[in-house]
Amino acid sequence: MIRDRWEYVRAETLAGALTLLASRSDAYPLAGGTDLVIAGRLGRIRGGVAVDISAVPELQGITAFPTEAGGVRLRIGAATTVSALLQDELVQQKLPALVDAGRLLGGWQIQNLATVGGNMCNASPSAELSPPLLVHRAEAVIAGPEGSRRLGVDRFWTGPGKTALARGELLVAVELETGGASAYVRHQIRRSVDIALASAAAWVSVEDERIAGARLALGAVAPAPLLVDVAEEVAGVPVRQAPGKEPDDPGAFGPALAKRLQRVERLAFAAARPITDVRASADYRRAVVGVLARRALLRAVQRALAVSEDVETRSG
Amino acid sequence: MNRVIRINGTEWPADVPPTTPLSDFLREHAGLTGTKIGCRTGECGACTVLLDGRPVTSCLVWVARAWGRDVTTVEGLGDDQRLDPVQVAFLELNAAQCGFCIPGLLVSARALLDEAAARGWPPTALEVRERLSGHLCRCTGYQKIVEAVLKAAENGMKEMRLELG
Repeated sequence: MIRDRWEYVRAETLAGALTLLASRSDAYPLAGGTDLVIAGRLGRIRGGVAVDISAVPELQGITAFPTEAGGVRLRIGAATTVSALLQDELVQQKLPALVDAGRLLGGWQIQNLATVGGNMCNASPSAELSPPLLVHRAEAVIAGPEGSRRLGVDRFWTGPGKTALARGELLVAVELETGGASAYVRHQIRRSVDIALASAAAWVSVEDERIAGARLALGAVAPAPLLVDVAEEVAGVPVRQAPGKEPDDPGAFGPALAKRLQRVERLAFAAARPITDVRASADYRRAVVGVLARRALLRAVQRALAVSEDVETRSG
Repeated sequence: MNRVIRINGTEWPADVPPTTPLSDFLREHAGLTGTKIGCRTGECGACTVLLDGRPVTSCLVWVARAWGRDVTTVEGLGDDQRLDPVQVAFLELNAAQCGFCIPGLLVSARALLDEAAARGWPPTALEVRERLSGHLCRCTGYQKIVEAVLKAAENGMKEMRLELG
């Protein structure tokens, strides 16, 4: 029997949503419901007023706009479902790590309900979308009673279930710069409807067959997702598809990268501060996180090279 | 908002407490007991229905979120005279054993085939496995289920070609 007690209110406007959220201390934003409804049912939340924000116009849609530097910036509304994210052509082209992560999030039914903003605000240390958002240097657009503000996602998650959102504030969207290539990998028990024991996202940019920039983020190995500084370790390293090697082989893009990847693995190992829980021990998580970091970087490099080949073919 | 849900094409008044799970509403108020309830936490997929054509775990959907929208349950597949091709394929390949997971699997498979038809080519086995991975079957495993969906896709594509030809 269900014992949680919820009142349901539907917000039609952003201002309306903010007023409703500020009206009571037990007001919760409701987007997809895949976390809030379960939290109520399992007794983690007693109930309260659920403010349905899924129809608020400012929280909708994926839009692209040009940047001053001549690039493209993407704005993803907080109420965008994971399915809508996966179907978006620009996301597919520009944010491959986010696509990797979205496909691993829950199953199809959950992807049709769950939202980008919900995954961020539930702030699980193992949340699928966090490492990709970190490596793409996403910025959270936040609205509140005092007006709106922006915050880099590297400061958005502050602990398990905790974010930098103040009471009465609402996540409206995330914005990301595009460019470079990325990948996300995770380790888990079941391939679907499961969460990460540990995960890693990597972003790289390759210029003239050398790594120009790189970022690495780890999930489920600390109270909040972690950015690990690896840029110096791999900057300038030549990368070229080595013949006859699988893309997951550390030597797939030449011996120089293979050597640097060992250092990346050690950095990931050193940065991880995992806990032991029902899914895995802290030692196990530390043991796999370096491997995940390596695989994510290799996959990102592979994609970066494929993209530059594409450009060459087109310009040639 | 009009407190009405269109279920399998028929408008149903749904003036119940707005936080009633859609799964409970379907079974207890609409009398459509084809939809099963397993875990109540969105993990088993037994309660899957289509909401505006997309599979969702109906235990996680409050009735208020379905007001004004289309819901398809297993009762909405095929009609009294004719089964849906997906149901035919499940029967032909003995893809059901105890049957508890089947109503959810059938509607997800229907949505998958509709998606494939819209883009014009059949799903791969890997795609079927990925799309249906949110459905737990505790009897026999998934081999025959995947085969049945692929068979239904093949039959569907044949029909499409006949229509075109």
